[in-house]
Amino acid sequence: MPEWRWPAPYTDHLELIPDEELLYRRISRAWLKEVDSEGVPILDSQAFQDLRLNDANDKGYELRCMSVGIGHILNDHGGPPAILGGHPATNYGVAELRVACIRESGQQGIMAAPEDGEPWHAVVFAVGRERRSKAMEKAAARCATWWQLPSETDPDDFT
Amino acid sequence: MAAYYGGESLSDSDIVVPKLEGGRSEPPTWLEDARRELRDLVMLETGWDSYGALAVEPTTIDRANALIKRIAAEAYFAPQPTIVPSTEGGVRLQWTRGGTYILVQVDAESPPTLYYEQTEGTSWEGTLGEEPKPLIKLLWEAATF
Repeated sequence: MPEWRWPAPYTDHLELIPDEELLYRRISRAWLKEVDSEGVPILDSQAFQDLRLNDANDKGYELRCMSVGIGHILNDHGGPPAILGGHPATNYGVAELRVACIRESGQQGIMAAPEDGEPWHAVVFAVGRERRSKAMEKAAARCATWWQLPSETDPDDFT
Repeated sequence: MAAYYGGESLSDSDIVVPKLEGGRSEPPTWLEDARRELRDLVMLETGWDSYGALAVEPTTIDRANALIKRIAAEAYFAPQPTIVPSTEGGVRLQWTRGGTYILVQVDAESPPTLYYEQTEGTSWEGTLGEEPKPLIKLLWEAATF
């Protein structure tokens, strides 16, 4: 358990992460079960769940939240693929989320939360709640598009 | 109910499900596919999502299987659910049809939860069995949109 902890309630960093910003998030193949009419895996709410509370606490967060990468900082470190880190591109894709869309309902905010080796790290959190609801996960899914699919994928893998 | 994929079996009373009307003698064609997808979830190891997600325990799969079997038996018209893991080691059953989105989450110990939303702006989240619109009606609307 880290001694230093991120202050809670979290702060929506409107200037550090303006509405025009893009966020990125690793997407596990385990979440991809349905495809659209063009055979592209659908990004649905399951891909935008919070960290478990224990994991959040271990990382120094008081409350649950969802990890993302801030686009303009990622661009300074090799672009969105950098968010994959050592995770194999065959098992993980990268989704792109629009910040303005995340904030649209006023229920979700984004706090810059750089971590060791991940200066681009930020968290999406629920405003005034201890965790994001299923409705917020669904709302996040509506804000997301694919930046990069898991590599070497066959559409049949997702059906 | 018979044991399923290791772990202890669960009686129907362990799962809180609204009383469903109807029923039929033949299970829907998707039932075996759904059970296979459930079995596959046990192969996920802790950290499978790269953000620290828990593995899905066999007992959780048992609980989800019991619920799926009950839905298949009593809401025979229900479309096939999409089955995905949750970060907490649970199982999520999802239906997206027309303007209806239904999500049932089964966890290891806590009661199953339900979230649904419909195009007219209706949404609800809480413990399964306490929803203002019964699950069977939601599934029917999803099946007949």
